[in-house]
Amino acid sequence: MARRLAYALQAEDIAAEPGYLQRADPRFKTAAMLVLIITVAWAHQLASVWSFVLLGALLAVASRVPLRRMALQAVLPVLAFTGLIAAPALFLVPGPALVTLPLAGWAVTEPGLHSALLLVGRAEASAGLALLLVLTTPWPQVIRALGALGVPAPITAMLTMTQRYIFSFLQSAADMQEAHHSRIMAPMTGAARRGMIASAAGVLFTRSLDMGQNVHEAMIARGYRGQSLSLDTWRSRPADWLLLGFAVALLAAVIGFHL
Amino acid sequence: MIYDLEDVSFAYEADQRALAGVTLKVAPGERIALLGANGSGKSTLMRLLDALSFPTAGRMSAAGQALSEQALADEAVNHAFRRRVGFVFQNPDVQLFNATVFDELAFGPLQLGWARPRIIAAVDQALETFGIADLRSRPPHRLSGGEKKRVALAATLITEPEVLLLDEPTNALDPESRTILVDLLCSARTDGKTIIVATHDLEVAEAVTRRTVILAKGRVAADGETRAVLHDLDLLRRTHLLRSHWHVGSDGRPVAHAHPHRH
Repeated sequence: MARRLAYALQAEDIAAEPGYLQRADPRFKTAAMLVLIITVAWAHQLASVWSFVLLGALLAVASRVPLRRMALQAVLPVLAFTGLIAAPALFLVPGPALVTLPLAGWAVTEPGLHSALLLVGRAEASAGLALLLVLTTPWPQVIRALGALGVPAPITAMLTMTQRYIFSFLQSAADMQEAHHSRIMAPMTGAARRGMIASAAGVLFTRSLDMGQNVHEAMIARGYRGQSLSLDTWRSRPADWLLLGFAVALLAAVIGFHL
Repeated sequence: MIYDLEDVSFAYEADQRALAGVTLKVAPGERIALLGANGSGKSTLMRLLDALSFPTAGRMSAAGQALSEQALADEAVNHAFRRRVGFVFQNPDVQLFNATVFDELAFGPLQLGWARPRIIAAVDQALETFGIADLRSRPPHRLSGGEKKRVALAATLITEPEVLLLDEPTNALDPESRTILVDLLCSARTDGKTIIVATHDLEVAEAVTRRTVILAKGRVAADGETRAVLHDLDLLRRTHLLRSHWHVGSDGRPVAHAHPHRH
């Protein structure tokens, strides 16, 4: 639990680094990343799709995002998940065989490999770009950028609150776990551990209800009447327009040249 | 009168009365300490003063306007009341619900409809005044307890309310943060404001206020000049604000006695 909390806090430190993407206006960066993800989904040539994976890696290096973190948080989980989904296509899509598995005798077909690599490549590139956005932008700014791009205020307000209090509850959960560990004398059985987790979840739920009520009152005390308002203080630079222009140009090229 | 409470009672449940027949008048510019042991009704009274709850019996008004759920449902009345009264909650985590310190300070002015340049100027000034300029872009979960209290106070004072309600402002603060907070409350920033501080910190009461009201079991047990009230040791003992403790006397022998805690 504490490791998860530290992991989340480390993301905020990465967002504070003076890297390329960190310097970009969050609105332009969010829009550019969305356009790039759409472009990846649109691309249907292997080289195009995997070049977006490479682009993600280059942007990570330019933005001082550790590649190890990218691998642990995006590349490997996506490979495991999408790989499972794509694996059957290797054998099921009809076409000329490339290799045959020695024991099972299943043939990996050329169109099957193409489909699997395309699916995995799209997933890797999209996840990598989305992760880059989140790691190089403080979460509050991502939410505000979404607001600036037209996401309704109640949704951005809900996301803000979730982000704000998730740390409080993570901390509470970690404290409860530590307090519990400090009082147990022997290893717990599976049933006892499940009971402890259920009880902790119940306590956290009650606390979250209580906290929700108190936060609402604090908002009312400062004049809140049900309308979420925010103050936008961003100023765009030529570099921000360049980033967005680059993303749009890539989308146009992929559509125009059937890449 | 800023506040006029007449025979006010409040109960969370029918059989659980938190306040019983409280009568209290607060004049503009008064600085009042609301003292009482845990469960004496301080926080409940503060919630009533901020119109977050309403009396279950008795009458209550603020600046001549009756305070009731129906009255506050009116936009104009609500706006005027929230503009006039600021409340610093006991738990700053409850109050700091925005993504960054900047957003937190801008929240109140935004709700009150201030113009954008005025909000930015006010936030910048508040960041300087409260010594929290370096926290401008920091999310609240990355602030220390003392920093959270200062940000909460700045976020409340930024709209320049006439009345400042503080619920246990020094609770869980280290000595340095406590001193900073008390200094802020005694600074020119709060000149002319009506301040009501709910606390069981007798030193804060003495440093910040001139009048003290003691609550015990939901009733007013004493109401008078702070210095006089805080030196009435029998009253403080009766209301569980003071207990006997040991000191080592000049002869080296331990002596048990009670007094307001100043060494």
